[in-house]
Amino acid sequence: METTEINGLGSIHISQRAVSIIASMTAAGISGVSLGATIAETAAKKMGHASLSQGADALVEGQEAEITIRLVVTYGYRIPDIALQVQKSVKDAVEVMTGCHVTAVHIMVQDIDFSQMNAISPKDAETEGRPDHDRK
Amino acid sequence: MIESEKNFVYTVSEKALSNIASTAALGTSGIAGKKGRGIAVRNLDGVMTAEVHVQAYYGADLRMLALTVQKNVAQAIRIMAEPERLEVHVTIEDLVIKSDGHDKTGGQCEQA
Repeated sequence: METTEINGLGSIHISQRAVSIIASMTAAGISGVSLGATIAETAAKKMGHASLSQGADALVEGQEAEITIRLVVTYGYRIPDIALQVQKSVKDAVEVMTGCHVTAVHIMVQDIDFSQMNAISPKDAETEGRPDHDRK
Repeated sequence: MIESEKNFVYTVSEKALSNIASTAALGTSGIAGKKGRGIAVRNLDGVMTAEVHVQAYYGADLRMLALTVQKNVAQAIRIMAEPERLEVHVTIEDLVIKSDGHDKTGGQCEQA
């Protein structure tokens, strides 16, 4: 499906794929977030066809969009904070760039990324409920 | 219409009209190229319908971009073919990343 807007001159549509690319790119820009990949996306990547909409699915109907994002959070970040931040940023970006209304942004945290453990000291990360480590 | 044009009948082929629409659509800044079904113009019973399927560069306001494409295509066809009725349907099928050093998230949607 696609967003549809009818005006005096005809109609304009923005494809579901375009909406999911915007969602994916926005989510990827947030620190502590990398995007989850499906088996199909991993296979495509290995063959050199990296998908721009990796980790994001959009369901667009008329002027309303529902977005699902699968992500991998870097170890040491507080997951609720990250999820909320992704939700807000994605909603804002999609609404600004497409003019359609975002009814929901679903976040699915698929995994934790331990490869950047040195970036955040374990002491900070283990201190429960204190999200005051340097995040930017 | 000039008096001598009264008995003058002519048609413009759909191919020519499609070329006009393509040039106008692809000349809009922020548009990367054709996509999917591409750009086609149909002329049925005096109603001219232009179908424009394009891909855009990531970063622009897609709604404004689509409206700009619609306006540009309509203007080009109106000037060159004078249809009685014209409809322009624009679909942004896909997004691509602009790779020549442009700011990815900057507003590149300069309206023509």
